[in-house]
Amino acid sequence: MNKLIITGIVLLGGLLGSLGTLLIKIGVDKFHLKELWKHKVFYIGGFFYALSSVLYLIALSKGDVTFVYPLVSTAYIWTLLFSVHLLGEKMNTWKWIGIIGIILGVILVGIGS
Amino acid sequence: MESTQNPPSCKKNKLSSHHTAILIMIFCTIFTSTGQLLWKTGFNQADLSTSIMTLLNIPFLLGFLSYAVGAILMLIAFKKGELSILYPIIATSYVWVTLLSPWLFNEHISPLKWAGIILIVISVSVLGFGGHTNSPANKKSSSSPQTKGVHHE
Repeated sequence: MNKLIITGIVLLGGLLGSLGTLLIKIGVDKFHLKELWKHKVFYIGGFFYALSSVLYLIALSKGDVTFVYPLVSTAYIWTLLFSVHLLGEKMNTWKWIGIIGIILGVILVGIGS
Repeated sequence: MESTQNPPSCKKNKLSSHHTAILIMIFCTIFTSTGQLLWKTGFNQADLSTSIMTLLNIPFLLGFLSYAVGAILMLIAFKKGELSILYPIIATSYVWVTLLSPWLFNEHISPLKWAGIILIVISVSVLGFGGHTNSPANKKSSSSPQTKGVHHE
């Protein structure tokens, strides 16, 4: 499986993982935790999240952690965009530093493997 | 008990909701990392050439349980905190897996990996101490949502 295909799989996984958690967050904000199982948004979100995990597993089985991990960190960027533009969450300097630090940290762990 | 006002006495509650969510999320990553390592052990133990049922070994099943606990903790944390902070904290699982791998799988931690996990730990702390903002998610009272749009499908 060539690198381009693996890259595509991981990028898709990143987007789906981020979308899935976004939906779960929306569900958890809207409904009581004990009633979450009654609502579609929870299952769709969970499905996207599970699907993204499967895609990561496929990518890791065919490709190198060294270049898969940095691509996985695109999910953090999606989540940032969704949180700010769809959920109305605010950013501050510390959040920027923290999130960028985590993305860099994940890339370093990947490269260092 | 509506919460459209934010009286000063409530500010402390909201700060600790943010911190509680982060702590719960870190515990969640401990369980998901444990689940991942148990599944890896389970896969190694299974002999898929004979039967897929060999996958239903104890490490694999315990891993499932571990993931389930992690998922519940994640839901609780999400209720209390912001997505833009809690989602990156999932990266803490890289720290746990990296620290446990040499001991369990005889893998070596390279200097770059050390740098990566130290950076992740520092960044999570930064998010914890500085990341609290006036987002809508933080303006809700920390008790369950009341009249605001509880839908039934």
